Amino acid sequence: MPVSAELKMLKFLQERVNKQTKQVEALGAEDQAQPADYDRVAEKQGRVKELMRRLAEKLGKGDEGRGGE
Amino acid sequence: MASPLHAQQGQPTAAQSKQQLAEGKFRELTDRMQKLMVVLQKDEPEESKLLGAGLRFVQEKKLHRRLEQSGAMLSQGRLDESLVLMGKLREDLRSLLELLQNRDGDLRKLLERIDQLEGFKDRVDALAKEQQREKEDSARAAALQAQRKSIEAQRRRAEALLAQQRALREQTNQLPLDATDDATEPLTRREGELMEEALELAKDLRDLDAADAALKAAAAAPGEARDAEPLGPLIGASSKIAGKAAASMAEAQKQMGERQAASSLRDQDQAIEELEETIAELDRMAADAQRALLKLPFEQLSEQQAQTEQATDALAKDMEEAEQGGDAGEGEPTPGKNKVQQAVPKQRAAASQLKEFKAAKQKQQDAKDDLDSAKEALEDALSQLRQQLQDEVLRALEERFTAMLARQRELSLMTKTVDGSRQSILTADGQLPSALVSKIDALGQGERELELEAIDALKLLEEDGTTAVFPPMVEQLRDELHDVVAGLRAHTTGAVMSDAQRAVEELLELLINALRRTIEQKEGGG
Repeated sequence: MPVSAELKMLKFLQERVNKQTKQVEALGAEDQAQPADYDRVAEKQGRVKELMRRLAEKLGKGDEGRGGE
Repeated sequence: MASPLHAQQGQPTAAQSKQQLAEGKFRELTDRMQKLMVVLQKDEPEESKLLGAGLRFVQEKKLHRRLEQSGAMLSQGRLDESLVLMGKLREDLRSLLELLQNRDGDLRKLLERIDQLEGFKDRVDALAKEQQREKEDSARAAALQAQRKSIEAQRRRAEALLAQQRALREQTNQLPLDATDDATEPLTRREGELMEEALELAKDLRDLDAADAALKAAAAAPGEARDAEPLGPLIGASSKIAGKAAASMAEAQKQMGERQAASSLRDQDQAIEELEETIAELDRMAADAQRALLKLPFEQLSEQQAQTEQATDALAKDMEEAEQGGDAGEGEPTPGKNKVQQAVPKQRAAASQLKEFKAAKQKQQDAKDDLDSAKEALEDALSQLRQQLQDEVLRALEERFTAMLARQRELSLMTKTVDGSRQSILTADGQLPSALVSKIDALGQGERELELEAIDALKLLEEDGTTAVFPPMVEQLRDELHDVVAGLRAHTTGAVMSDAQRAVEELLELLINALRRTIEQKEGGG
């Protein structure tokens, strides 16, 4: 998959996490947030981080490959 | 207030007109399918079969009659009943579409084929390993047999040398104390000859000792699932002892040359003792070889080889059946089948040779080579199929998401329309009219179907390794659709719902775009 498309999707996922964080925060301010709500957002954030790490790794390998040419 | 969906005096409503149009189009479609099925029967039988299956589905589900019923309900103002029937009809029409597109059918076939070839590859792999082990065992048995013969031959030489040394010692012992040079000279020369023979024997025994050590090391090789023989008491012992005997003979010859008969006798006794030790050492080696051979009886090797042959033959038959039977690989040649078939007679010949106590290393090696080639052919085919699977998964996903996006847009529009109606027809007590509730429920059902599609897409993604980012994206899609369904079930239709539906559309657009780019990249060889 083209890296640009992958990046777009990651950006999208991060935006969704940001939006959900704000929603949970708003709920928290009204004492309506459940621990599971925070866990869900944390899990999603963790997944985006992991995907970003993998993409960075892939890009790093690409650079190495080009460097060796 | 009359519902805008209700028929005016003699005038069909927009919904009724659309329903009539749908009925007409559907009848037109099935007529064309019927004609096309006949035309394609000869040149494209698969396509024709597919159309036949679609027409059978239409008949079994009574789609024409139900469409008419739905239209009749609309004209009678039975909107709720009509909506329920339409929901079911939509599901059946979707199934018909999937059937005609043969959607996921190719994928399923591909997956079954991959499973089938994986199974064959595993069996070939196990047989190749078994064949290798059997070849090593029979080679070792043959080497042990050869070693035993060599030991016997060398033992005979050592025995002969010992007999000659004993005779010479007897002659030396009979020499008078004042023996002349004429008397001692032939004995001295003879001792020299024996010493040369002993040296020659020691040299040959070095090769025998090396072979013995190699066989014992092979038996003790790590990873071998058999009892390792302990190494001999002293590697190279027989040649060393024979070498010492040669040295003692050389000393005896020297003493004799100096007419020191008594000293010469002591050295000859020493040589005799060392030759006896050499023979004892050779006996030990022969016993070790015999013990090792007992652990590898040719009958057993032959039996094992015969079992491997039977298993290989069974595999060849299964591979043949896969080409003809109703399995995934029907009509397609099974990669590696010929090589598996070719291995069978070689294994059979090897088993017969082993039964006659003959080594069969070459035949076994040839059979192993055939099995390795078969495995290679299967691996090549699997690699191609996996590539094809990845392409198919991407295409199936793109097709699925495109259809989902079209449906989502439809649902979003309908939700807006319903929301518009809602603003104008709120009842006095603030309750929603039941007709509107039914419509919102039907929208929720539509979104629920999309959610199920997303869940189904996730299963497809399990087969794809293109990128790790797809699964979380589709999970996000599923979650967002889930929220939309929950909102509609709570009869939410305003701006919040509109935003949520728009977000689903955006996500689908992003996914479709990424999939298209990936497909383009792959097609461009990227």
